[in-house]
Amino acid sequence: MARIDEIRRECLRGALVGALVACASMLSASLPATAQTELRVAESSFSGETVDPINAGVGAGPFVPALFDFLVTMSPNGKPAPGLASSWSVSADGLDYTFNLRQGVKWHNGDDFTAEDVKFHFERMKGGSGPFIGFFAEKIKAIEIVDPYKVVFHLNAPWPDFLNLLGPSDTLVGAITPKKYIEKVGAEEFSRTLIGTGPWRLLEHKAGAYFLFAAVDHPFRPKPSFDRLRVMLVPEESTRLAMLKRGEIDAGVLQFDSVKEAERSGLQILEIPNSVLGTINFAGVWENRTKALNRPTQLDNVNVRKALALAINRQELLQYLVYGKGQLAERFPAFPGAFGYNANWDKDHFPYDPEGAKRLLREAGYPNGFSIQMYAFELSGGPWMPRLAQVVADYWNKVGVKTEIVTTEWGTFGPLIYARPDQLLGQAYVWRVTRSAAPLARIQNFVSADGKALIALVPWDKDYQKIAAEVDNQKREKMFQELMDRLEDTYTTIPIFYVNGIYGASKKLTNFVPYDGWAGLGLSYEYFRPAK
Amino acid sequence: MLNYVVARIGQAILTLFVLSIVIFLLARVLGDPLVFMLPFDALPADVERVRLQLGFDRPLIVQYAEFLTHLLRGDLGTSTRQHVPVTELLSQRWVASAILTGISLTWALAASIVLGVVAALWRGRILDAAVRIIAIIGQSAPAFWVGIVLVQVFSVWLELLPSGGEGGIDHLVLPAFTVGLLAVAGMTRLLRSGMLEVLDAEYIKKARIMGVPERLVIWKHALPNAIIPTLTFAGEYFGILISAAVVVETVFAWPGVGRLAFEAVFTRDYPLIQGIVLVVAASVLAINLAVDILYAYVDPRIRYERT
Repeated sequence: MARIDEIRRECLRGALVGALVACASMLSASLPATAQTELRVAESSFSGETVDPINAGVGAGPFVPALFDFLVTMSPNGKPAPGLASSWSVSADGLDYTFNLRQGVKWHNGDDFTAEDVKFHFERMKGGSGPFIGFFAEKIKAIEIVDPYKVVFHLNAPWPDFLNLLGPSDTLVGAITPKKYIEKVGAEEFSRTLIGTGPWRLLEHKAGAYFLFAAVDHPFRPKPSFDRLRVMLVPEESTRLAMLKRGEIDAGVLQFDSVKEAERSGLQILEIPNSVLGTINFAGVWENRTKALNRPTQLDNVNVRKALALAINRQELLQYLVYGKGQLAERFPAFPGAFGYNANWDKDHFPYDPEGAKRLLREAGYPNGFSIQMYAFELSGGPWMPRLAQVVADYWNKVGVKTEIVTTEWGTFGPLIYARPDQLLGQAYVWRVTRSAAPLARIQNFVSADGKALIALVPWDKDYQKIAAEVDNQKREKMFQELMDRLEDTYTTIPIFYVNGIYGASKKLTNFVPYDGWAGLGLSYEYFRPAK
Repeated sequence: MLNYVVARIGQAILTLFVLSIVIFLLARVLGDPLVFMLPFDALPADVERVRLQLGFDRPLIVQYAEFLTHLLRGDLGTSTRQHVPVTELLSQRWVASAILTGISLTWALAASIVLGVVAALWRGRILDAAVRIIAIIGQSAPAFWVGIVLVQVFSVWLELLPSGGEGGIDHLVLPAFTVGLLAVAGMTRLLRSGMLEVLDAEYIKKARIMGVPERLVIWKHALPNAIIPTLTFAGEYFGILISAAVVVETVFAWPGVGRLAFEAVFTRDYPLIQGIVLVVAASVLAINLAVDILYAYVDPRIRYERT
């Protein structure tokens, strides 16, 4: 018995020592030092972490604009602005673009930036997998170096969206990469070491964790106030919020549900206006398509589609789904301030009128409603999409249209909609569009009979081609607006709201410069200032 | 003993070969990776160009043959999403996972030894009940919930530890505690049962009668016999912890293999999925083999049977 007591005393002694050691290590653990000279930003996803621009998707937005420059960049109001090209001119026939390049721009390894780099980059681009590379490959006939600081792009046909697509708004493939360095070390080593001309030089990249940059002097972009920039991957929302509250990060992307708590904790909310447009689309419903397949659906009738649009309370969705951080949308895929947007558009083209919806359904021959499926999934920039689908389904249920939610994810739904399967005919899906400086290029698949399968809303190939070929910008914009008006009247897509991009930030961070519609802080880092 | 080890290694290699075929086919059943690589409004010509670049247009048998040839050279291919060799991605993340899992398992084993012995010695008393409650909570509380609660309590309210990310030893405390808690629960209960059984054995009674100090009776005679099932459990648990860690890695922003695997599956990154599964499988097989050898070392009866 005495022996067991002895053992028990030893166990207790051991447990106490262990507890004391644990407490000591916790007390001695260093709290993160608030580094005034390091700007720390947390993102929820790095997408592919590929920063080589020719392979980078828009998910590389946090890094590519920091490291690299574009020939033609974007200004905070979303319009093209001089980048590595200080000026440019376009020939009368729209086939030749002459760019005058800035002198004195250096790569991060000290090499000079010249026209050789521009030509090299666009030729190298053909081997990449980034978005819109096909456009460049198809439309650029030749690139001519006139002198070390002048380059001419010769196009196969007029391409009014060319300047916009050179910048970061729709794709990052236009970020120029260094010829000499890549030829010396190879593409694979370049993708690790990443030399650019941007105001941030890469110091370290830890896969799945962070990118660390050092500020460098820059000839035409603002010199960063912070010495270093750390962009961290923090996938979990509650952890990002905790890090913001503790001061472990200076800014972090937030979802709408966290905004009130962030504000209560004394954080500021940074808003990027009109980053994303949320819509409800109907799959392959225009008459030709369903007739061709001999599969008529209830949604073939435009009044049925209109009824479904009238059944949705868009103001309520804006208020309670995204907490008013945005505004109601008028036309797909127009964004306020961007090409094609008409500020005089009727703001209430889709009024909330459930009684009107029921009446239209009765007149269309569906007094008892019908059944439909709504595909719900999430895309980057659209964490609210599944919830939007659920609430819209509820609105439709109330007018007698029995809506079954099919919860899926993009990897499953994407190939389904590409392959034109019959099961999707006459069904609905939630969608989001990011702001584009070249919406005409973005809309191509939606208005082309050869476009991506069932996402094509109407077969207006000829109209689209006419608009795309128009060189006069004002005429082109007017034609595009008319096309969007016509699209609106088909009710094949129901625009719901424009949603602002949201970041929580410490109040010690000032001088936030949002780039209209560009979801992310990648273009804004160099403007931030620490509060005095 | 040597024959036993050689036979086990042969079994492991065969298992990996079969697994390579299974994972190769299963990855392709998941769907098309191009929907993640290219935007929705990419031109059909763009899609086909990238498909050809990646070789996804070739017959499956040709793709598998190429994969196997490279695998035998230690080349797991290049991530379609990240454009970086899979071995490079894994080596960067593997260290982080190994640290997290190793520390989790170590503290879990140490804690479960203490808790299991304490529970057995104080059987039926308050301490025993407390240990069993801890075990039940550890097994039933979801890891993501535990992690989020720990962040809220220790990071936000008490401001004692960081919320997430990599850094010093303080960054490991909360994630390691969360991952290890699951293992502590199972191992504690197993060890408690083993100790209770062994403490009633005849040889233990004989040792006491012969005047062996109680300390030696517990730690030298009883524990080595009681711990064998726990060690086996720990070896199997290594594989479980790797996959369970994906949730903890997400909550604490820990750049480990678990999170990498989740992203690979989500984006249908075939080479990365294949590489991760094979490497994790090889690790689990290696750990289990090591446990079996340790088993034989701890229990001389097994050693003599094998020889």
